[in-house]
Amino acid sequence: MNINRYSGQIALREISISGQKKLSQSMVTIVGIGGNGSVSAELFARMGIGKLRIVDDDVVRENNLHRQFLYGESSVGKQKVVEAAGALKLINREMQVEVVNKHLDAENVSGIIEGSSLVYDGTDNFAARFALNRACVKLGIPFVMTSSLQYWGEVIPVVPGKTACLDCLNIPKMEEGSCSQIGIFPPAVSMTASIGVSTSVSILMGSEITGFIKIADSLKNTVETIETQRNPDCRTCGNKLR
Amino acid sequence: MKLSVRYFAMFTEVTGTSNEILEFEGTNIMQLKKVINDLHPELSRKGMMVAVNERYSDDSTILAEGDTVAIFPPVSGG
Repeated sequence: MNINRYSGQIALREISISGQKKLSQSMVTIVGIGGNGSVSAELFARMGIGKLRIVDDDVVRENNLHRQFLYGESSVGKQKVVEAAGALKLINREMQVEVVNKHLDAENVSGIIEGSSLVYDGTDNFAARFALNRACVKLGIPFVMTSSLQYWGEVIPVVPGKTACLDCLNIPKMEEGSCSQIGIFPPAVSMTASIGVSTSVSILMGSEITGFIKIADSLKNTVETIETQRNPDCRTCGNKLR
Repeated sequence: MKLSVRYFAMFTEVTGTSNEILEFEGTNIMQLKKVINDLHPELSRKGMMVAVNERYSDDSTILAEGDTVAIFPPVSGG
């Protein structure tokens, strides 16, 4: 580990050398390398995560460029995971990057996340998030959900057996809009990704975290915190299942 | 009872406000959701999540005079 490279964050009491070592020994799987996923991947790479596994089967489109880091004009039409891996290696060549050019579903999710220190949600739909949540709880892997649309974002950490999982929250069904249909303000993505990565780093370094939902508002520049608690009768993480 | 109701994320645009004081005659969140749905019918399509005094709460949670209730949607994009 190159101490000098990370001296700026090693100087922070909450990280120090021991925290930096933990980050360098961690493997984070990012599912979805679009808005939240690409911005977060760059932060993880710069902070010295040991290995990133990036999962996506989409190509870069011109209308991604206003908010998705790691891609430039020459990336348009190319596979996101390949373009992202190339950009990440330019940022941090010591970091290992594994690309998975697949669409995640309930059938393949466990194989895709296996071996991860933490799974990071960069997807754009709740079907994928629920599949990740259930697989992470089953395998005992911490999971950080991030989402952003228009001016707002949400972050929910799931530490199996310790904090509420997505199914504990009984999240209601709703009409899901996409960023290209109803819009996305790039600062909302950066704000959400910053909260998601900060939360992930705390988990990776072994800090105790309590359950919460963070709601970021990039118009007002505010972050609201809602405290959550596990549901002992949850169908995914309830006490009877453990 | 008087409740302070706060709206977060896209609900501020849908309702046109970020907070309002409601005079509520019911007892729990399920009943409050119905009142809010009548006031702002568009909210139910987007899914309503609720916190009471900054704590995530389910439909059976009993409300008390002066509670602050946050209403917000699941944000879906990435």
